[in-house]
Amino acid sequence: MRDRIGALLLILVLVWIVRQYPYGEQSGAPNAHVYSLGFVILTGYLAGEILLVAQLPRLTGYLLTGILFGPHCLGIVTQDAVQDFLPINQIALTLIALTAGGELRLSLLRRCWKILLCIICSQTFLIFLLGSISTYLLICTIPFFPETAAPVQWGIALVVGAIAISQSPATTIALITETRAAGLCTELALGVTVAIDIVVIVLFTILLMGLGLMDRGAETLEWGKLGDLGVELLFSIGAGILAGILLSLYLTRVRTNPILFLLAFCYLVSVGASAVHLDALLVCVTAGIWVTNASHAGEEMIETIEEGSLIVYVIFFCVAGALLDLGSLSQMWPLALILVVLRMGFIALSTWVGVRLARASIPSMPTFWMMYLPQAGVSLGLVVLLEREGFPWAAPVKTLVVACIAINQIFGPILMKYALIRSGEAGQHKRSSR
Amino acid sequence: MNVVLGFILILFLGFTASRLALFRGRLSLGMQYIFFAGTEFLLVGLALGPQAANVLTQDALKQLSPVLSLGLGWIGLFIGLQFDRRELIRIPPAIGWMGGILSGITFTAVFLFLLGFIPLLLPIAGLPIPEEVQPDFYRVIAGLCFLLGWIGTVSTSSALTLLNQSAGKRSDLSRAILLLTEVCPPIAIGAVGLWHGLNHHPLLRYSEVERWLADSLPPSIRTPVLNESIFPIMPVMSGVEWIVLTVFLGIALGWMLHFLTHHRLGENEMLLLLTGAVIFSGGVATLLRLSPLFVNLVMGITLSNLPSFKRGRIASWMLQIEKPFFVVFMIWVGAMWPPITPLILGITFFYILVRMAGLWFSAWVAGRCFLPVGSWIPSRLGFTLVPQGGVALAMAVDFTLIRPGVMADLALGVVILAILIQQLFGPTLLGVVLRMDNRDTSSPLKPEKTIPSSPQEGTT
Repeated sequence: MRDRIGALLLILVLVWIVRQYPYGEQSGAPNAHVYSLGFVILTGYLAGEILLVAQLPRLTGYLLTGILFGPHCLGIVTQDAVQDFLPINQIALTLIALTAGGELRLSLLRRCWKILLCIICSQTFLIFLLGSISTYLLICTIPFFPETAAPVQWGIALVVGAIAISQSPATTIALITETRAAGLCTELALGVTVAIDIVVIVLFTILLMGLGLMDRGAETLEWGKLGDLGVELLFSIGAGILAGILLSLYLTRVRTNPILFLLAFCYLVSVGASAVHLDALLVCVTAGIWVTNASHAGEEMIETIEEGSLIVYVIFFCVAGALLDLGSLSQMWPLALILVVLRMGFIALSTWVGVRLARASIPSMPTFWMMYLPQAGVSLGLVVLLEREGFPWAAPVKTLVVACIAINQIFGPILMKYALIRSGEAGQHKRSSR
Repeated sequence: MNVVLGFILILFLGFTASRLALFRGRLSLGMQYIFFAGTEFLLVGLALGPQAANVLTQDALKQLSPVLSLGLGWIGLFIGLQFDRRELIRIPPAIGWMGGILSGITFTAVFLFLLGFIPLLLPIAGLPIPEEVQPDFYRVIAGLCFLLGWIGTVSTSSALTLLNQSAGKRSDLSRAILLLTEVCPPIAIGAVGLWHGLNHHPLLRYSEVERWLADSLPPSIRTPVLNESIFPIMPVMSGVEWIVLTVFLGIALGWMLHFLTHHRLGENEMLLLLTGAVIFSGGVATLLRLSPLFVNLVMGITLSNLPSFKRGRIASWMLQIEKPFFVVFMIWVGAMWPPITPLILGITFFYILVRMAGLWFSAWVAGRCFLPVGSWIPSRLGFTLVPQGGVALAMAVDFTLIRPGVMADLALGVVILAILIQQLFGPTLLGVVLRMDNRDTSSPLKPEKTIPSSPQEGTT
């Protein structure tokens, strides 16, 4: 431990020395950013290792590194540098999605499809319903949005309710990899999180259409959007299957430099999917599911990804931390904190209802719901959609959602790790994740 | 969209090239070596770069220019790791002295000849030297010749590895050659690093000679990546600061890496720490205009000489993940390739010629001085050191990062072309000398000592 603290201090000393030569900045932004990238990788890893001693997840250390050294706090990693890391982050996200798909074994899911379906339905319905009602009551009581009419207040409530359902597949898969968890609870956590992501996107699109109807009248209603979304999802799945076939062929026939190929594959998917309006994450999840369940290359794919997974997670979560807008948190923290606590309650309730409906038994029921707490990327994407639609209240809602995500990002992984350990599935994976 | 297209093309050509390499048994030795050394990626880079398809545009190259410092950092660390004193003492002193003599004589030959020859070549290449640049002329040209001189001392063992692989055995001569190819690069990198430090001015201002050359040569001669910074006036640190900071950074990061890697680590963590340290040191070095190659060389030397350091583990890890770094580095350097002008052609031609002569003579002198009387000394030993590869390229690229401009472009253009030309006949020369050695009953160092195996053999 002393080694790691010493190394962290040494890096900070080196950074201090570098900053004594301010003209270094003149030698070009790309150079400054590569130094920031190295800094993020080393300090993120060291912070994760230091937090591990306190039984906290490594990724909390990565997130805290991003927050502390990012543009909103100490500014060692500048806003420009963070923006430059976003393409790397996009690749990391697709790689994580590929892992998520690769970890989903249909044979196991087939055995527990009933409980999976029940949890998805109950979480979607109850969190949306209770989240919307409680948000409406909160904004009626607490004057955060003072000059808003009742329909607008309902609009805000429905949006917050829908976003409350969303979870974070990236955090889930990162924690599963870190704790080397395997078993029913782990599969359910992953399966529900991935499925809910798709459900939320569909629900949010419908919701946006409804809000548009309320805001601008029936003549502006674009039914085609729903069709477009359906086509996008179907094509994404189709593209994912094709990509899966390609991947499995490469991993079984060619086998040269699989890690290079996977990185190139993820880069192409992340860039190509957005160019043709497909969902890159769905493409990768489908490809991962295909490789694991329809070919013999699943193990090799996961092992290849895991060889480089640590560095991917460190960069991804440090950047996520650096992107967290602490300004929003300071503005909205009381309301955000209440909403986060309420969301926890709704997740616990809906998960319990789901398990009951399926008449299944989960060994660690009291903590099982904690696996669904982490929340991140998709939620932010949804708020951006809201802004793009031009609703005048989108900006304060974004601030609120960002504040909620910041709290969930910090506490979600800690509670999820606790739940994984309590489930007895941590350390059960046969492969080494490190 | 260009970057995407570029990426797809890189992928396609890279994989095609690697598949072709599988059939290298049907190719000539020179062509086999080109694939073995990864030179095809230089050509891929050239095809995609601004000089050809322009798929990798100048903007894309500029944005992704840190790739270069990473490649340089990796190469520097790799060379530094070979300087483990516990391994060094296993090298016969004669080889060490031979390496020193070889480097000294080859450097002197290339440096002096080019210094005398370039002023004669310029008017022939249509660039008569104006009066106003005369006073400063030799000082500036001496810098270029100094760099090329030291680059000339560096050889690669890749061709030898390829020959040993196909022969399935390794003679004492081939072990001696292998050790010589490992002894010389750190001397050259260290000398050039010191020169960078001592030659560092408080202001990075370009001389009249450089301005004149930049105006006289085709505009594209300037390295595309660094095009816009051809005449910056930027305060930089003093020479002493430069050296102190370089050494401090290398030692500090070496210590840090040692403390983090000395206990048992997983593959994932090792990959992260090595990559993170190289990215960080490369980034800091480039940011402060230090030499990423030199900083990482110091880091590698520090790391390998700390107590309880287990070099094998880190070195084998670096070898495992060397290829992606190397491939991307070669593609980027290929894209930066300045166009071939009569000036570059002329300098390259004489650089190769003088280098070969210098290597032959220095190896002969070194053999006479340091090998026991009566030993069979292959008078052609110097010719076995003709092939050059990643380290020579890295030294030229390092110069383009520290002092971008027309001189760096000239050096890069000459070195790339020289590497390609030498790769065509260098391995054949090596093969001929080794075959002649096999026919002889005695080998140069056999009676005295058995030459230990090289610690590692990488692409660089």
